[in-house]
Amino acid sequence: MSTTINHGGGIAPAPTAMPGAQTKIGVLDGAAAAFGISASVAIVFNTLLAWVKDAYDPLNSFMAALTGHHWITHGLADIAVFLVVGAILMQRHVSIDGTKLAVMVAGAVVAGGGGLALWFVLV
Amino acid sequence: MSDIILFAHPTFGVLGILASVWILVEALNASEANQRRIRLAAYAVAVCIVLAWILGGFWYVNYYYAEKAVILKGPWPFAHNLFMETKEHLFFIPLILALYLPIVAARKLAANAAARAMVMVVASFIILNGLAIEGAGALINYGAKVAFIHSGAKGAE
Repeated sequence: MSTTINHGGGIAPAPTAMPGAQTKIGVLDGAAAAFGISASVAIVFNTLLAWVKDAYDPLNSFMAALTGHHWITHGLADIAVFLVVGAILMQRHVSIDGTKLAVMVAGAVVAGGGGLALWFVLV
Repeated sequence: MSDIILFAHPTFGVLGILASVWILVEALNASEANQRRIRLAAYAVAVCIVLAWILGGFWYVNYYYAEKAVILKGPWPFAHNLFMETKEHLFFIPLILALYLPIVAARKLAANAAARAMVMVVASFIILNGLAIEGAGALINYGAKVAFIHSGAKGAE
């Protein structure tokens, strides 16, 4: 059985969950939910944009022409997606289960990071 | 001046990783008493990672082209083709997470398990991504070093 240390310094048994039961940690709303979802979207967008601009030179050149370097445009586009999607979702008063949001962010980071590494291994 | 920028970039990256470890520990022990420290740590992460982005970006855009040419002619071209190409795009992931951290850390973590879990997940990924990016940076630096040694440039050894 797992245990936790309580505030008095003693060891108390951790609450046990039924086998197969999903742990509920509550719902997130407001900016925390909106920008959590938008962070996941921006992370996936970042990888997709890296793939497309690397495979399609005219887009790379266009992005370079906008700010002087494709990488600067890429970073600003990521931040813009994060802010705009977050602002739109916030206006729509979205809320999301905390576990689902954590899985969404984790999935986006693993898929986004792995996708980038895999792309540059293959090309 | 370019060397100061080059060294400041990973320094702020490491400080961002350390601040992420700090907020992770604070979130694990979230209470009314440490809520102010949690918010402070979240802002510290955001500021450090943004500074690492600006400083690294300035160096990358203005100075890296010369080093890139050297690396590509050396025995470790993958230091650029794989590690730099991945690193320069991977960096945006902890940047976005670092910008999100103060937003979710604004909630009272002791009373909000979902926000607490999100802070821990986000901080953990900033730490893991940050360590991977620091490692890639060291490898890119070594790629340039072996290229200089390979070229027989005086003093490179």
